[in-house]
Amino acid sequence: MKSINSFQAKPESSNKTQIDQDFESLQLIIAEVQKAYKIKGFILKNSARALFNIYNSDDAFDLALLASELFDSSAKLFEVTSAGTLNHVVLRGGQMSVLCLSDGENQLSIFLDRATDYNVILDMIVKKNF
Amino acid sequence: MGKSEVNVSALETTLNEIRNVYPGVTNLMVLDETNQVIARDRTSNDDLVNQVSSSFETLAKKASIVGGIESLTYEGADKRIFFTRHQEVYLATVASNQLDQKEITNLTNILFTTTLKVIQEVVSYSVAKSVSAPVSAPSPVIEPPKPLIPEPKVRAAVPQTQPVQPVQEPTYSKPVAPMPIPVSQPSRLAVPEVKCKVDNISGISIVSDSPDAIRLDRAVIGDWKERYGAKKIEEAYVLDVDSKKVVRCKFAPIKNEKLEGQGIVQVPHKIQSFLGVKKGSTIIVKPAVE
Repeated sequence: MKSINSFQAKPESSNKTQIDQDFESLQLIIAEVQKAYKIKGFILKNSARALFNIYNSDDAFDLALLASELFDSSAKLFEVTSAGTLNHVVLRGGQMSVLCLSDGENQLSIFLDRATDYNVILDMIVKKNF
Repeated sequence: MGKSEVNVSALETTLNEIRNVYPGVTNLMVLDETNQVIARDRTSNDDLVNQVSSSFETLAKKASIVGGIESLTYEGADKRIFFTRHQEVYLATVASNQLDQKEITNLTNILFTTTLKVIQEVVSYSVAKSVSAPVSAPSPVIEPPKPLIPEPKVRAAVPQTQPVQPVQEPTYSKPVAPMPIPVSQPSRLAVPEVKCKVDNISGISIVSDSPDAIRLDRAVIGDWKERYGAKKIEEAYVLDVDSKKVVRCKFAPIKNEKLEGQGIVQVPHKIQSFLGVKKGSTIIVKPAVE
């Protein structure tokens, strides 16, 4: 990636919780994904920490809003349909695809070129025990 | 039962049939271009429909950054929810995870797409019928020309030895000279005509509205209402400058916000065929002031 706009808010407590450990393992996974595939960016966050890396900084805010809305809408839709807990969401847009995963606390959103096969990335992340 | 109701009924029958074939499909809904649910299967309740509409509407607005929504899939532990785009509408499906998504997608794509096409054909046919009928009300600006042959009783008087002239159907497409206009009334010659580029109107959006109506900018409709105040304007004339053909039809505002203010008018296919215009052609639209 040519341009990196990243931000990481660190947790106030230095005691590592399970959530923190999961967050860090996800950081490693996303680093591997970035090495293996050309992605347009990602957002990894939980209630205490956030890490993002978006190729085009102009789009960062709108993409963050979209990812957030995908998680919010899944919660609402799953409630009325009794679909259980969320595994993942895939939005295929005209220009870009968004892949969102959640383990309950940590939320990962990956932005891909439309032509990129999100299934390969999804498999890679799931195999890493997301 | 109106045409729209018939079309919605056809869609809902299709949704129910898909559910019958696949009991693992729990809900099916059709959303139009404004992201409102226009058809649903019999098991989809109001809570679900409202939630699907509101969630999808919010997402659709935010998804412009990725080029709109082509498809959207939520994978849950027990069920999956997916939205697939078909022309200008979305089919929302809630299904059990036990079902093979590819199989469902293939079936819904074939069945649903076929139904859409059939409905469009039916709607186009009904529009064609309404277009081919003579202009419904006399117009001060555009009136049918006098027939080119005498009335039948005159023809009957022609001696049988003379060859009978071939009968030519009167056309209703040529404008004639305007009538004198009373000063006290708003000038009908000054009826605000709008030059617009033709755009196609397709998809099942026509299900929820009058299928034979053209779609105009809200600003144009607003201007007409402002000019004529108390007068009821429910129809418009659509004129093709080249062919001199005219059609009188109903009008409605353009639904797609992105198309507003671009000087286009969405014209049903059969009206385009009648006028001999196509997407990109310039036509003139005037209000039919009674």
